[in-house]
Amino acid sequence: MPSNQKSPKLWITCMFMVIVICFDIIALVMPDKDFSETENRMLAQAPVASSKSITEGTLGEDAEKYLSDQFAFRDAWSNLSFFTRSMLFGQKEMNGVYIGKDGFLMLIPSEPARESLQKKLSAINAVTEKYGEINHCIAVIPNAEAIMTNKLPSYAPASKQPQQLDDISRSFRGITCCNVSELFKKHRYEELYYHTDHHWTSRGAYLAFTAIASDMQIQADDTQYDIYTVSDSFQGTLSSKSGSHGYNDTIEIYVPKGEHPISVRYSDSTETSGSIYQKDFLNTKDKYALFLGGNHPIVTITTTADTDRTLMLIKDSYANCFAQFLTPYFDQIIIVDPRYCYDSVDMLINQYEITDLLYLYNADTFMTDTSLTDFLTLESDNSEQSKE
Amino acid sequence: MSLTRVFFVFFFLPASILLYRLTPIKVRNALLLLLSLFFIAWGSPADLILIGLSIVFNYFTALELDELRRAKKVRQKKLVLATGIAANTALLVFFKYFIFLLNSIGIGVHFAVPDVPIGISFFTFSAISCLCDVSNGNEPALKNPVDFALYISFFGKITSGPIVKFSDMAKQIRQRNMTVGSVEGGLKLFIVGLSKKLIIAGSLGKLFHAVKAEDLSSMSVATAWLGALFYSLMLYYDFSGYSDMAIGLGKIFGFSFSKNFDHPYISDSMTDFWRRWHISLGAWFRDYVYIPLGGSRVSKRRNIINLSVVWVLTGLWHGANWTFVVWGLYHLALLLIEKFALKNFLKMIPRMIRIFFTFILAVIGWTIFFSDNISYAWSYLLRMFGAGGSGLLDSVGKYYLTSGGILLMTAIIGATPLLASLGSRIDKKESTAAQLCVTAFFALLLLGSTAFMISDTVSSFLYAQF
Repeated sequence: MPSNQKSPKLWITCMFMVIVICFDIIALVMPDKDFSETENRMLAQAPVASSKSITEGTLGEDAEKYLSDQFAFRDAWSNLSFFTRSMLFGQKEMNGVYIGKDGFLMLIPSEPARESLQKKLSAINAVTEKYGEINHCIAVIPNAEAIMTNKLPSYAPASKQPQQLDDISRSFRGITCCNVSELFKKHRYEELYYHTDHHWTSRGAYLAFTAIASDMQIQADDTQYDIYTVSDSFQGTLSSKSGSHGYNDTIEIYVPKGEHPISVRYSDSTETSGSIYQKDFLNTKDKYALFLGGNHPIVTITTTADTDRTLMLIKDSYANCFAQFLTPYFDQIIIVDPRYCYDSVDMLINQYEITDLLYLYNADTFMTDTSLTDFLTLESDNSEQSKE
Repeated sequence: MSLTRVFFVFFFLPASILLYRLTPIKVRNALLLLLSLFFIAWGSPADLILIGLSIVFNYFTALELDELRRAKKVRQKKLVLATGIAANTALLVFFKYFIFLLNSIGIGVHFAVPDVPIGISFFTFSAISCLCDVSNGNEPALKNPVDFALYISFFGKITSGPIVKFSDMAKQIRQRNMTVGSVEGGLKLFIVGLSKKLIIAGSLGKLFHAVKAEDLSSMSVATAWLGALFYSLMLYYDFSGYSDMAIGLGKIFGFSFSKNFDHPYISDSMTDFWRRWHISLGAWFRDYVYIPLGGSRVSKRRNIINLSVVWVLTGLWHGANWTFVVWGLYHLALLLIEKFALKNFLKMIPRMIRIFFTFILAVIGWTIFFSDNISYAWSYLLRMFGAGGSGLLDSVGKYYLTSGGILLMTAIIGATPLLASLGSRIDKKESTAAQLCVTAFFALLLLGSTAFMISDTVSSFLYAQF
């Protein structure tokens, strides 16, 4: 090695080596985590080398995932990059989420696939026609992006949802369609949506309920509610997606006044519960799962309302916090989530002697999800198809 | 293995540096080769077989060429050289262009060609460079198979270049000056490249993809230009960042590769642009295609044909799509106009104005480059010049301007030599305070890059409940 006249400066080398070796030591010493509360997902675990994973080259990729998932202070890094992108660079959207004004995060709705949407609408019309004796009602709830326009980032493109929802309502036959867009716009200052989650609040659900109730011939004014705040530290899905953690949401529940004993049964569990609230979830990241414990194929709520009405609620997760308003009005509520339920609509309607049918979705899921169409395919359609 | 992910930056690189310093000089090439083979095998062990075959074939071909050259057997030498070039080209064509070629002549393809091996466009060009240089007598072949294998597979440059000329690198493989100071300089370049790629190019890429997802039929002039600018700067930061990392890695291990980008967006003509953009590729085409065809020392007509060949090939090298061919021809046309029609006229225009128009012409070129097909490129160009679409500036345009304006300005300023010259002026100062500032700045870049490296893997996993 040539002798150095001057002793060379090695500041950067030392800095680099110290930083990387510190993180290597931390990586070795710190125990691996199974789950990320902030991201609400399972973290990658140490990959196991096998001859298959080595020859197919998956080992390297698995190891990369493991290393970055288990990297020390993972949440702090993601906050730092969020800060750089939003504060320094002024970016207004991150991972499909608008960084709105006052820390309001909003899901950017996906483009609907026209053909599959058309199929879905026809399927709903066919069910309405076949079961004419049942009261059919549908409510597709606009997402925050369409309502909280005052909180959108400056110059964000105008929401397409109002137009889409208008088009949808016009294509229904024989089913009462409740469009709450105008009502929600009028009440947009009342915290109808969470700031950090893609769901609506109980307040939003209640407002929609007052509109839907009259469409469903329910005397909603009779019931008074006790409103409880059950959490003030909720950071929902949009927080996780965007990496923005500067705001805590409050979760409220609306409990009907008076005695309304109910029993809740989940098709994917043997336990029965006396409440739609599963308070254990308030101690987790996924606090919205307080309502009915998240999504299940079928949830059956049996009440003592004695109204001779049985409701089938076909829904996505928006309906989970809507169920609390329905319990005083139906003897039984069958809540079906077609994304997880593989039964057919015919079978369920006949099995439970349904008198009322309500579809409740948020617009983004309604326009993109395809499982509803499969669920609604009628038995006669099936036999026709098999003949072909 | 990716240079911009955790394993490389936090494990592979520091371990390589330490091992390298601890290894006796005689076996350092062997160590680098082993590290390089591990680097390739990490992501795709199958590529190791292909690269191995390429190494064996080209090693023996180069030895044979050396032998024939010494024995002055010109015809045999030419035959061997032609075979060698054909074999390397065939490899590249099979993996990269086979399906494109079949589709172009109207044959539908119903079978899958294996995935394109990493760096195939780069290592086949390196191999051809070796064969040509040995055949011309510019540089004797590398007798030691370890040395030759290292030339092809050095992990710093295997994935995305630069395409270092054989005659430049072979000497350094045989003997190179290794100082601790080169590690220092190499790491600086590496960190600069890492942050260019992860912080700036990554963020610009997100903006560009958002614009590209917009409905083209109703795009305003402002949105179209912003999209094109996002892409132009993203591409520069991505590729020049990568080159900085590769050159920095070379430096760490004692190599001195010439720069691959030299502030291309301050070029004052298209000819100048191609002296500053992807320099190693331009040099390769000049040395191994243009000059062998006769270069410019031929009739004007022949010269134009030579240039056309070079630019069609340069276009195609970037990918198997007609858009790349059109992009190559676009640059050919600009260069010819400059060379034959505007030479004297350009001299009269102030330099700033020439720089501005050269930049705009390059941006227009990139819109052809990023389009998936010719008709998309055409519609996009129409929007940029106000035909169709929704006017000069609509709210979507304002949105991208407010959302990406700061980053864009930062990126444009960073693409000029301003920051670099400021940095080197501070760096030259010997005072501890100045050194502390520089070190803190690089530490900030390293930590910032780490933040983007980690958070880009934050999965957009939605709850099961949505």
